[in-house]
Amino acid sequence: MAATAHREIRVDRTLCMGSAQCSWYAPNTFDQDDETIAIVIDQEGDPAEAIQTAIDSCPTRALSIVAKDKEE
Amino acid sequence: MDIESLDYTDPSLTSDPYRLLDYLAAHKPVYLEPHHGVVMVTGHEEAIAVLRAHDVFSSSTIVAGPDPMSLFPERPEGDDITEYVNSHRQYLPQNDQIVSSDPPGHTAQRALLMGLITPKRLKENEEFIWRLTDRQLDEILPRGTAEIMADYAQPYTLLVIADLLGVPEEDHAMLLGRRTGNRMMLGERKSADEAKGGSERHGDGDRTAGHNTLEIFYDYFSARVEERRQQPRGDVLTGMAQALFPDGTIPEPIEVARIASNLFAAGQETTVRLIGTALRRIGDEPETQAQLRANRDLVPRFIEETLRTEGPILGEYRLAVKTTELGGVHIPAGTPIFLANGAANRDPRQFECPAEFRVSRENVRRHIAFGHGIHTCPGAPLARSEARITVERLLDRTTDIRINEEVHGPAGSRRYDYMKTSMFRGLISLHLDFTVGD
Repeated sequence: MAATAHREIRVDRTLCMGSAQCSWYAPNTFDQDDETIAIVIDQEGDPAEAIQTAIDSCPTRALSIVAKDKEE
Repeated sequence: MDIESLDYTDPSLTSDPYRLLDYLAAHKPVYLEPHHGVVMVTGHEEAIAVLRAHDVFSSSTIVAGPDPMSLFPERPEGDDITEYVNSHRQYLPQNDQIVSSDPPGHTAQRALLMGLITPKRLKENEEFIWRLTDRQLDEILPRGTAEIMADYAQPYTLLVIADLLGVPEEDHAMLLGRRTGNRMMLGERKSADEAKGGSERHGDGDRTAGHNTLEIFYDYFSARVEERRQQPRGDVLTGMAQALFPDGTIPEPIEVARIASNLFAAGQETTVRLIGTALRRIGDEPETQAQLRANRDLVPRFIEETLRTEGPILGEYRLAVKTTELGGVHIPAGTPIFLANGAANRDPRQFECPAEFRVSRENVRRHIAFGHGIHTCPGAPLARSEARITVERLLDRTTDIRINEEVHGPAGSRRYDYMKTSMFRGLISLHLDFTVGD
């Protein structure tokens, strides 16, 4: 896991409006919780391109990819 | 009768618009209809493609009806009319609203709403929505019968958005008064069906009067925005007043006021219709009512399925500003598009037995009742909360909810009046009877 986890998808729960755009484009990566807020179910559930489309299509820019410390 | 030959703007279809829309979604997901030369997009996949390609399909004509090109002083030629449309937006209705804007202007306006109406924020403030729900239910439940739209849904949605924006109670009546006679919801006044008459369209007086129907609120909200900048409060309007454009510049108060006006006005009408449709189903289907009474956790899914099967937006317009092709249909620049959310949500390629109402439908959230892409309804979380809490509190406080048969007739032969427009789906009135619990 550590070998592939240099980048991490983050959901800003205060920005997410529950539009479900992300789970549309990357359905194996994103889902929604009971409050319709986006959650990441698998950091690498879809091809990188699909995940990027999902992130770019968020109408409230609640999604981002951040570099993650390797020690974490 | 040949279904394809029906005119989708014919007001007589409003009692059951789905006969035509379901047929098209199943057989002609992209269809150049013969009456107005409008390309109707009823397929789910195709609708998503249109909503994504906002550089090809402009939102400028969202409420301009089936013949938007007649509104421009000239007829632009060529395979790319983007520049012409961008420099002639003033001829189109609701041209100063976020719903009719395209990037880059849209991106900047949208930034003013970021993070303000979110499920998380609403969850934190859910108590206030519960309080307002109960307050409005107190008005109708003791009577044992009520006309839901006027007696509950209209005042309720007003109270909620007013409270959220921070509009004080003493201003409600004044704002409500301004709303009356201005069916401002996305410029409903100039909807497709009315445009058919044609007479309204030609007088220059009409160009100014009611062209941007939310103007009546601009002064009010501009002044409130300036107040919030001086004295911030905890309301959504303060968040909007303090928001910056993405390039770091401070918006003029009027720029914030336009969006506040839209939130105040546009979201209400649609939420009112959503509540009406949801409660009609609860009254009409005792099994569904029993299912929800037994398990409140089903209410959110019930609301989603209501949005999918009969969402308040049947369709809205786009304008092809570049020549393109969609679903095998050639679309020259200048072609009006009717993007039928209400049909795409019943596309059998996406939803199994789409006309069936199934609370347990697995993929229900793939509906596009709130749109898709950059124009996705920012009020969606609020509409969901209002509908869900209304249903929950109404179930909590009653033991039975029934359709009033004196008004709507007996089960099996109900009579309901729907809004006479091809853009919206919603009851004009809904009379319910209640048995109130202890």
